[in-house]
Amino acid sequence: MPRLPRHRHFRAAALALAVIASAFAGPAAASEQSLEYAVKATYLYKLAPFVEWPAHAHDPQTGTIDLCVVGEDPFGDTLDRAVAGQQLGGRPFAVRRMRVLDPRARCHVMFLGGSAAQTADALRMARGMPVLTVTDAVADPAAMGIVNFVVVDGRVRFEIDAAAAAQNGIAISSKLLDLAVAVHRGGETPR
Amino acid sequence: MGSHVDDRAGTRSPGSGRALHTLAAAGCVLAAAASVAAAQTVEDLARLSIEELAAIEVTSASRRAQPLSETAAAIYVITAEDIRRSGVGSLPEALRLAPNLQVARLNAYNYAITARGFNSPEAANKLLVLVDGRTVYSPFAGTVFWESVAVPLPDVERIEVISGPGGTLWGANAVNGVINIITRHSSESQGVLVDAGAGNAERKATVRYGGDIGDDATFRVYASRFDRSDTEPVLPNDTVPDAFRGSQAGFRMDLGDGDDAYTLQGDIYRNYTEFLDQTLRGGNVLGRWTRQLGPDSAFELQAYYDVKIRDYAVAYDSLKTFDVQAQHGLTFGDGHRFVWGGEYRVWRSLFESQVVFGFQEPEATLSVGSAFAQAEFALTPDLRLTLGSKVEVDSHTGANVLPNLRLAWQVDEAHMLWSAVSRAVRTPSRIDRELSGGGILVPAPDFRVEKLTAYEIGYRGQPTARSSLSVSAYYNVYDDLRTLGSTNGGLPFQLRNDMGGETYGVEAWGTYSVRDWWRLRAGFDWMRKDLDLEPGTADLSGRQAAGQDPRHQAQLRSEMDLGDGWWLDLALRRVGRVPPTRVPAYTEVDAHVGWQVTPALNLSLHGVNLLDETHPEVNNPATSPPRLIGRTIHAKLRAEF
Repeated sequence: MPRLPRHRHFRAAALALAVIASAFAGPAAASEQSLEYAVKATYLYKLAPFVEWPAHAHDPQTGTIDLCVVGEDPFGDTLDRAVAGQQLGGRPFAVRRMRVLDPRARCHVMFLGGSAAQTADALRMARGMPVLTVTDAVADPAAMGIVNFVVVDGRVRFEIDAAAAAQNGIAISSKLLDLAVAVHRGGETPR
Repeated sequence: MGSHVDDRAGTRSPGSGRALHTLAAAGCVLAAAASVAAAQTVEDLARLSIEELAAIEVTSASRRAQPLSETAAAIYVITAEDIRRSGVGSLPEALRLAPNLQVARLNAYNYAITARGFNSPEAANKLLVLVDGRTVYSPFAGTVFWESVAVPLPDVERIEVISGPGGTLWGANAVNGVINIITRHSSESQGVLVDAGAGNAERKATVRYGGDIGDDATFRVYASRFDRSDTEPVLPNDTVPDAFRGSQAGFRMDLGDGDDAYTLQGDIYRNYTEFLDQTLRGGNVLGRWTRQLGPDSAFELQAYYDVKIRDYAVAYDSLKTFDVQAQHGLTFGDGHRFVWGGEYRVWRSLFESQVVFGFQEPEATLSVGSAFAQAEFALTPDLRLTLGSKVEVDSHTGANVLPNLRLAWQVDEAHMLWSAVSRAVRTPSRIDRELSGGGILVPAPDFRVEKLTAYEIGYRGQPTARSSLSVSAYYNVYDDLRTLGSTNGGLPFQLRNDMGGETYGVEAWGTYSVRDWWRLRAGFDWMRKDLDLEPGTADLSGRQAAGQDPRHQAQLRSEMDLGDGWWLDLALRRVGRVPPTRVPAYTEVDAHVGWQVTPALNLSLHGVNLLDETHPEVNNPATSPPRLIGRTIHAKLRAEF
């Protein structure tokens, strides 16, 4: 069967190579962040519409919704990129990072990184404050936030401690509770 | 040769959308990053609802976080969010979102869709389509009857579009591409959903209810109805109505119990168009059992039964499919993966023609058995070699071997290069082998499989933190493509395999986040064909099997989140001129504006094909009069509670 002249093969290959080479012209240092943490960072602000804070939780001065990362920060700039331009009810999100929990800092959502002991300490300090505490795949019930990320079937899901939410005076919508893989309502030991 | 020629071939196609899941979980490279590719950056994730976020796969079963892109194939993923924002009311319209597909609308109900060329209502026989692991490719005609594919669009989780051969995993007829349509797990479609739209070209509504049964089981049921208007005729004496209407209903139940997961799902549909008085009806039921055998090993067993009937003025065509398949995947050693499995399928076809063209024996049974194995070796942490083959034996053509070899090089965290060599085949359809009539056409019992050897190279990555890019180039060598020859230099004619040659092309797509609230997406493909006939032969069909392909198509989309729940998307699409049919090039603009009134309520307005009142996309005078595709405006409401 007649075949295409050989030089046309080279032309096709050369074109393909040129396209691929051009893809490398000017590669910037892309930030390495696993998809898992990109999803978790996105959750941190997407949880907010399903949470109702008491009125005193809002700072009339800044009017931001404050996402605090306490302890070890697994997100890097992913979290800043995630919340950039996002807002809820006209109020933009702001990211604050602190090595240890500063009780004077205003936080609406507080992600607790670091060891289980550090997390448990921070949770004790945050108890009763109008803050949605979030922990990352913690197994120890004492170190579990109101929202605790878990990976189920390769997907990032979360458990909710409704009793702890009530202690902190925040209301969580039923839609979010429905989406949780487990809801702890107190009386029971989580897990 | 006549109107009958619904050309096309048919046969098996193991693997599956959900199967893809298990394959991924258990070890298939091709699958592993497919779901990941759906949302590559945190900016992309911003578009997802919280339910969609909960559905993103972030790790394989080995609990190893997936790198952002590691698939050694050209995969584009259409997400649920893409479908929602574009307001599309049908599966073929949703497929226009994939830059690596060519979608051409013939009339109100019919489409020609392919990847990497050979498109036309006659020639689009090289694309395999699966809905939740169930093939909808017809072995009777070697095509997908898009008017009979019933998919609950509002509950589609994603559509994976792979351009390039997929024979090793999916079997015969995955020649130029594979489409996996994957619906949501029923736990991700809970509550009431109302999705309704109305406009000048289509009215459509879907209602779904999802709930749970005890702690471990969830279900959903849905019903849907649509009504499409006539398309505009080209010829003055063409008064045939082609308006299309139909309804469908279905269910899905999922039960998770420790390491075991069970799914049972089914659909029924009935569609009708006055054109040729066609009624399309059918249904399916599918069951699947997945067992996690350990952290690095999973087994899946799936079976389904599917009935499709096309009852129209000149023929009755019924196809019953029974399919059972099993596969096992595991990871071993230092990041190596292995997946293997088998499948058995029986097709019962009945075709009763009222006209001169038909089959001497209306009934036929085709059985197909296959086994495949594929291993992925991590040669170094950055270099992965995939090696696998399927052997498929069918009762008509015997054994077909469908190997592939893939190499992926993760240059650094942001850039991957890949290459692949694979073989794929299209198996003869009943029409290819058995159609005859009128002393004009005699059966072609020796019609052979059409063969492809494909060479691919590609790049995927993130050139900058705010952009993603995928580029693939292919060089395809085809042999034994269908032609229409004469037996003794005159009548009668007979279908033969006298065409072969090469196609080559480039596909590219990418995204760029201009601002956090503004994304641009672009897609482009370019293709050339060099097909020729065996010396001394002729193709009396005028190379119909070569398809009607534009040399290029391109799209540019802008997606803006304007705040307060408002969004505005604009799309510019261009499809080049189609040389054999002289269908002119067209450029169109689509505009979509939406408002997320509350988390539960979304309203949107969609304008499609805004630049021209009408335009032609594809023409097939042998089977239907030419029609023009018009400008459409429609409003949509989506409420979830």
